[in-house]
Amino acid sequence: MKRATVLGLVFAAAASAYTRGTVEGSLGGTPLYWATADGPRFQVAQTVQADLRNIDNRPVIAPGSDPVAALQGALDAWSSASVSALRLGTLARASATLDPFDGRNSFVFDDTATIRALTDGALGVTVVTAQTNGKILDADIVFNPNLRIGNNRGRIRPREPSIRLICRTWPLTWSGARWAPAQAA
Amino acid sequence: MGEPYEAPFACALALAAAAVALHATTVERLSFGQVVSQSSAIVHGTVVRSRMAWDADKVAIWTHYDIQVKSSLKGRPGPILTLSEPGGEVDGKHMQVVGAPRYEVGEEVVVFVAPTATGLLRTCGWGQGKFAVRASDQTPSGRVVRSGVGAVTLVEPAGARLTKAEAADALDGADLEAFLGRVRAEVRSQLIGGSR
Repeated sequence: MKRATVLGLVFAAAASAYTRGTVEGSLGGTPLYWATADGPRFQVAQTVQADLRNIDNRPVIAPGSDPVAALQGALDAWSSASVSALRLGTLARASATLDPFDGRNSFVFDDTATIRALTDGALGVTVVTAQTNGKILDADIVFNPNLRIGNNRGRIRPREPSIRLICRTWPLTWSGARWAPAQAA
Repeated sequence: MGEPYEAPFACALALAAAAVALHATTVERLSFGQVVSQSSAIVHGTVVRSRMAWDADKVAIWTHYDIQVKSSLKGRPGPILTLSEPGGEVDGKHMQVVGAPRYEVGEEVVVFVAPTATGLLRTCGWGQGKFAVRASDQTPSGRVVRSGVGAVTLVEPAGARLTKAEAADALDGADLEAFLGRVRAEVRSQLIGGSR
């Protein structure tokens, strides 16, 4: 099967999922939306690199990998999808850490007690914060620093899980054609 | 396939599509025995109260659920067990973590909880440790348990693959009394095994 065909199948499946998944994308029935006109921008900490270790000195990111390129690849996968109206842009390097209310969308690889509590048992989680009117403040993708899921040998190769986690920063697509009104907001 | 995150391009994207079409938070599928062994407490009870609050560092919002214990199957939780899940609304700010189990006040449940790094008790294995009790005319007791695995994608652990029957979520739909009996038997079995 050609790569383009595979991509088409991938995002067709994803698109069908979004249009019916309204529960997670609402706030007491109020749809969540982005107020930015050109889609969310993401950042990742300068310290994120191959063989990143947690506070127990266990590897979190696989040695020899390029996590920034992998994360950019995940963003590009969505931006290039024919069903996607969003263009997620270039990943910024910053002092990204977990602050779900700082207005910055971050990939987070820190190791703190709070992050361990949030991600315990999962590969990673998407934390979305919003005002009561549904306006999204922030969407952070937080990886488990104490990864024990066995089928990636306890280390993260971030591209594929990021593709999945990014989709949860788009509640506008879960509730249908929410993107157009959000642009006008 | 044992290495989904290191698979070739097409295969990996196909996996991603399957997961995306379901849910985004990826969690290791636990056996029933693992859910029991990883839990510090297991109770059958009713959710009587919920409240939302910032954590100590004011980084995240958590919802805390008080469960009035009808019977304790493991541990010594006292008459009220408080479990916490990330997400909620405080000071006009809303936070949600996709896949975190939710409970309703008045809901009857059998829950398996484990401590987190911050000391809060969470549902074991995300929704894998939540079983909601529902009425049913299909079983002897008239009540069944429903697995709380919701908005997560369960992945198989490396090495030893679970059979369907071994997985905790396979107990979805079990008769309540039979389920409680199985929990007690597993707890007893692990206690005996652990004391050997």
